Amino acid sequence: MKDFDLQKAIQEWKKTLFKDPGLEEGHIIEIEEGLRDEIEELVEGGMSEEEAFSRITGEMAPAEVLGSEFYKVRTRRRSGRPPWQKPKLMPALFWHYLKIALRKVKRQKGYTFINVAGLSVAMACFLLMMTSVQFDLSYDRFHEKADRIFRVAIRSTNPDIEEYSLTTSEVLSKNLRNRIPEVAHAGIIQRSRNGVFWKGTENFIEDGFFADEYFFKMFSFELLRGHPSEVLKAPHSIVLTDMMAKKIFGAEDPMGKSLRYESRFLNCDVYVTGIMGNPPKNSHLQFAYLISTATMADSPVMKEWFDTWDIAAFSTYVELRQKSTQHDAGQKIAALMQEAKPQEDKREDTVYLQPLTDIHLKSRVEGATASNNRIQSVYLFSVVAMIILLIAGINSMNLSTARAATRSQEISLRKVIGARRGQLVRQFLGESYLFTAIAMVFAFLIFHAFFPVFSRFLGNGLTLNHVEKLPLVFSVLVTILFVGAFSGIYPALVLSAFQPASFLKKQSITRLKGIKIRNLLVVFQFSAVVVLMIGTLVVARQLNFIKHKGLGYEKEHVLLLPLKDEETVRKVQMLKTRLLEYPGVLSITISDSSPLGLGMSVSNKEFKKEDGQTMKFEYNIAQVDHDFLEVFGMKIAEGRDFSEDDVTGTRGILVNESFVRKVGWEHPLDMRLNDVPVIGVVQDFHYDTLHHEIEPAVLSLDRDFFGRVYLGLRIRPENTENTLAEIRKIFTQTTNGQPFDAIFLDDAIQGLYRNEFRLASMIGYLEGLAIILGFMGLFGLATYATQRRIKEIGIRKVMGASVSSILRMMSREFMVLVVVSNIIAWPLGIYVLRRWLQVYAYRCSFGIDILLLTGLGTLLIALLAVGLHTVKAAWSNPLDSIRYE
Amino acid sequence: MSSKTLIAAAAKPVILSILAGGESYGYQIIKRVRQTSGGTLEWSSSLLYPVLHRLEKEKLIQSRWKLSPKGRMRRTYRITEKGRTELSEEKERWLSVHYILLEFWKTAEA
Repeated sequence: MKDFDLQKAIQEWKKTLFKDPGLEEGHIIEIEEGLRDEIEELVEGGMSEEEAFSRITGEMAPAEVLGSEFYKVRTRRRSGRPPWQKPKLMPALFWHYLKIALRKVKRQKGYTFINVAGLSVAMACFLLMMTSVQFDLSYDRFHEKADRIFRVAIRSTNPDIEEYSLTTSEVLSKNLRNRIPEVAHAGIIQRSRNGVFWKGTENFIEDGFFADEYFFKMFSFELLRGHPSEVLKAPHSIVLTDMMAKKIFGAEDPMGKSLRYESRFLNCDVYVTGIMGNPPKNSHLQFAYLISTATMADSPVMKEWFDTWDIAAFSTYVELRQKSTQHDAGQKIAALMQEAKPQEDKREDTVYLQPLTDIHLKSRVEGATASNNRIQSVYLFSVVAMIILLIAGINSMNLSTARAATRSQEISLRKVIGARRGQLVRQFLGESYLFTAIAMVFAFLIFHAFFPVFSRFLGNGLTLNHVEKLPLVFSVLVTILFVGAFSGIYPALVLSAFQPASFLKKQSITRLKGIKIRNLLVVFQFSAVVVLMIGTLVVARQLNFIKHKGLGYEKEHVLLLPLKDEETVRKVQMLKTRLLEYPGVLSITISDSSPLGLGMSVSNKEFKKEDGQTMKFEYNIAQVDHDFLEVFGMKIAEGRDFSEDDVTGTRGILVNESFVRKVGWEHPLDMRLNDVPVIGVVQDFHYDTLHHEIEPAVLSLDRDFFGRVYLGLRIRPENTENTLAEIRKIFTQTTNGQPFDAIFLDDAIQGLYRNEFRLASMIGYLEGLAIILGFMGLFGLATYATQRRIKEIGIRKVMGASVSSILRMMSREFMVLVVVSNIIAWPLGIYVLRRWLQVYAYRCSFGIDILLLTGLGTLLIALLAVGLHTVKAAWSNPLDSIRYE
Repeated sequence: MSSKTLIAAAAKPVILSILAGGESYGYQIIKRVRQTSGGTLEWSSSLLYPVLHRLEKEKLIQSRWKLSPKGRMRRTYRITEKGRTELSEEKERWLSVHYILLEFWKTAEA
């Protein structure tokens, strides 16, 4: 066994004390003296030296505790924490790093500006877009029972068309309630369009619904006055929204007051039984009033729509007792409908329960009650928002690695005096977070400033009140975390890996591996710019195509005037005669159709072909008068137009060219449709948007209108203001003050493409933003590249190089990157835009010209970004740059 | 014996009281405390030395280096005038707490 050497043990023990910066020599001598005293006493008491030593040192506090206790006595720091110890909450050297970073902000104003401005604009854009995404995703979720409410959609199994229909019969809802145990409630609604409310001589036009007593049982719309199960029970009941009530009654109490409701099929008094809050903007049901369906059932015309399976005129909503029974309930409803259908119409339609929360984004059904968004555009929005954020993140990342050249001294010094890599990584990450946080403050200001503009632009009624605070704060934090980490981690890793020796050897940090990845990132950025640029150009071209495409009719100087009530429809001939007396009106047609849509569609009509075989197909029928073709400027391809001698459709009909093609007639004028002779073929005209092919259509001379009725007026191009005023005057006089709701055909057509125009401007703005960000990034990189080579530029100039040759030299590297980006992005852009164009049956063509244009555009941008600095450097006196050192 | 805070709070009056009886040094102070308390109060060097330094900084005590009988350097402490004044104030404070507590406990027992 080894002998214990007390002196040696004490020396070793002292060494551990000396390691602690808090203990000074005097302290240690003093403690040692105490230790020796105590050991001596214990040894005198009979203990061995070894035992005594280990007992006393074992009871003593560890060196760092001793050290910090002594430090506390002599420091002035309030916390008393020695600087070499980690603080409890803050990472080591936090304040020091903060100081360094802020100093950088102050000294490198240009860099800070590019970095912070880019980040804040991108983050603001990201927040705006995510707000809109969040808003779209929040649709109909405010209903308490949102997850248990479904809309009944019926999928036709006609092999030719995959189509969903939302119209169901009233009797279905009764059967659902009575015969399907999974159903808690089932209710119906129907849009009330073109209805006019009269209060005395004042009239009001708003959109609303007919709804039954189950409406408020299922949906959580806020009912301010009245009882939920009573307000829509009795005939002639109406529930007004707060907005509508104020508009009609002002400060009066509306409850129990009566209003006259007039429409084509329903003219009656209604009594206010309830007042409700305005429907939230993120509801797919938007309305200003609800009239009880019992009112319809009470009317002579509409009562036929009830208690029958034959008339499908309502949307049906069901609330299930449990969400899990969706599938079972769907099958039972399908069985029920199959059983109830009349024998001759045994088409196997499938019933589909569409979740309420899917309606806004995932409806593929026709005839939906509100304009929907598509889940694809939500995805697109999110992806583009992410790309913008990525581009800005890359800028920040590239700039900090590029500017590493100026920091190699700092990094070397830190490493030489013992900074560990982890510490450096933390420092640079921290700087990146600092920049991101500063940028976020600005981003938030920009977000608030632009929110109203953005909301108006989207036109979906989004206000800041709809933006839920919590998710917004959450997305702000996630954005900071993500952007900070994304733009910081790579420079942090590159910079911290830098060997101090290479600095001493005067090797520049930028020549290290950072350069390859940086190029990769520039390529990514510019590829995004290229794709967006192709998008902007193609969308603009398609819109131009839409604007200038010959539609088969003349859309200018045509006024469409819907007739709202039966009374006016009865007087329509008189109205036409009176209006024609005014010289500003050239011609007038009365019809149920317009180029915006034909009156009726006939589905699955069996039809005899020329060869005697039968075929089934769908076509549309317009009920028109003699002047229809003249007013809309449509052309006859074969045969003749209707003449004054043709009294009704029995004498003959017109078909369009698509009709002829579809049935394969060679001599259409010899043919008959339902025993009525075809007297002419109209040149194809677009009566739907260019998304759709022109379908077969039949024009029939008929006055017995069932659906909507329009007056179409062709007016003189001069003095339209006056003409419009005169038409309004004549209309109001003839109809005893019916509301005048005319619209110009070309404006209405423009309205059909509202989404396209919105998309075009959106892509345009984003492209602008992407270009600015890409430009800023390249500009920043070029700045550092020029700084790095400033002496080289000086020497070259002295040796006789021209400014343009220097510009060529400096921009070559960047130009190559931009060309590579174009080559990468072209196929992607072509693919995406081809996909986008596919929704149009009629589309513009695009080819190499657009690609060349983007290529040229991006090269110019890059040249400008690089050139600004290089030219400045090349123009400056070379002596200044060479003299340095 | 008692809780850490009480030990720490008592450190100042205890040290001043010991030094009022004459110059002393680290280990001797620890020993005096141990003996006087009958072993119930056990001070460690990590508690004592920083307190001694703090008191010196506050000018309540004064230190000097001396050679110990065994020929080693030893830092000894003695009380200053300011220290004595402080001690009498401390004495009053502790005694008043002591009497208050006694009063409470008497009435509680009665």
